[in-house]
Amino acid sequence: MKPQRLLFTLFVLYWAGVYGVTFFAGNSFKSKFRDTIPTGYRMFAPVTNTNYDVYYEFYSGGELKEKFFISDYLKRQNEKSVVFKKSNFVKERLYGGLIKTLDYHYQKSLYDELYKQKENDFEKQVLINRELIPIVENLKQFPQLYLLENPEIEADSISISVLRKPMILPFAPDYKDDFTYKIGEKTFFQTSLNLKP
Amino acid sequence: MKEFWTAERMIYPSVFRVLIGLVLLTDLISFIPATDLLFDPEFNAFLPQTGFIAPLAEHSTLFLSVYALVLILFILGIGKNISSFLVFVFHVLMMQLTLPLMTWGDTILKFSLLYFIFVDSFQYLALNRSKKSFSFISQLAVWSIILHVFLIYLNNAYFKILDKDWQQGIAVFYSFSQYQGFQESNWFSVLSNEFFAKSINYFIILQQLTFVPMVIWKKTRGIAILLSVFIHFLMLFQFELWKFELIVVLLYGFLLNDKEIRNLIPEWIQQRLISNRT
Repeated sequence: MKPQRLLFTLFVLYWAGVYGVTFFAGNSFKSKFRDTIPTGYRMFAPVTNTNYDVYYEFYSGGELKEKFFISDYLKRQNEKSVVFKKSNFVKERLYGGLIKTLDYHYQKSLYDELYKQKENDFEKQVLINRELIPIVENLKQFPQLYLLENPEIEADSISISVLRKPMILPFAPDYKDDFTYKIGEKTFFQTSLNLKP
Repeated sequence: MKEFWTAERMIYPSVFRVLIGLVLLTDLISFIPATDLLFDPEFNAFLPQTGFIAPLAEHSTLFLSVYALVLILFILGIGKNISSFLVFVFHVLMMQLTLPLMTWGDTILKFSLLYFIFVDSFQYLALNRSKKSFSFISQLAVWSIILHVFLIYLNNAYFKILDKDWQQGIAVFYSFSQYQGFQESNWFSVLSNEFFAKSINYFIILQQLTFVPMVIWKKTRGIAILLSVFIHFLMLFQFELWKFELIVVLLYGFLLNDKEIRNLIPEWIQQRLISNRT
């Protein structure tokens, strides 16, 4: 076989494989090849239909010293110079961007408990799931960054509450055709940080 | 259809090399104020703690400096396919180091850069221009980039057709709602209207579904690409995901052949930068 013909045959086989895997393979099969070939794109797609926020309360000797939502903090950061746009993007992604993953596990555990009579293992998942550990860790790391940025604030303990709020469709406010609406607006995860040595 | 695949595409790979190199370099420079935060495990629990990626975070200044140097060589066309390969490697390493920051644009670019390694993009706009003619491997690599762009569109359309939120016409509202400032933007009033929200939703599905045949057919190619560029620029201003949008827009250039590219570039620029090789 001539080299050009051989190359073209390999090219056709490669692309037949890529399109075949993308359209016909299951998710577990795709995940094996995800790093080496394109296995599917879900862009411009709603990753979630819930909004999230994190509420931080800073205490010193039992007295509340500072409280804020991370969304307000990020909004204030965004108003800074364009030079800090990337820093703001990084903060948004590190400390808020993956809360949807935490909520996904919360929803799944609750759904399994309600409809499949399984044990709700969300609290356990938070401690052992390798996907969730860095998310929770970052929730605790953010207030330490905040204290560095605002050295005038003294705090020995911090309370962290993660909130969820399903998006309301303005043209269909009673829309409930999704489990997130059944759970509704609530604090779905709480943790704290002790800074006392 | 035959015209689309057989037409020469020797000019755009050089243009793409320079422009994507500049996009990546700008992105890298914009990282500088954020590196203290991003590469410090005290503030970023997503940083890999083990494996060969971990030391890169420890020596992030050195890593980013070498990456910047590789990008400059790539833009200038020095090092030929080796610099293309290094850009691909550094892009993949950067993705591993900054996983929570990744967008679809980075994944699209990863595979595009992989195919681009094999493209002779040094025919024009290079300090060290190729003396050989465009090889068959280069041709296959350009076709791979095109097939990858087609895969993105076809797969997106396929996914959207099967998705409940897209079927109900509410997906676009949800997509926009995820971004900061949506409630205060003009888009909120537009998408709060059921007719507009659903019309845009179904229009997006139709646009993605018809993109490939419209691009292949010569008469509709221009309008299909222009419409897609328009949509991506709208998203660029609304979502501020400038890198993602620019990556996709730059990839559209591969869908045009040399004749179409020449028609787009003013004569004086052609004479200075992309004159025929002697």
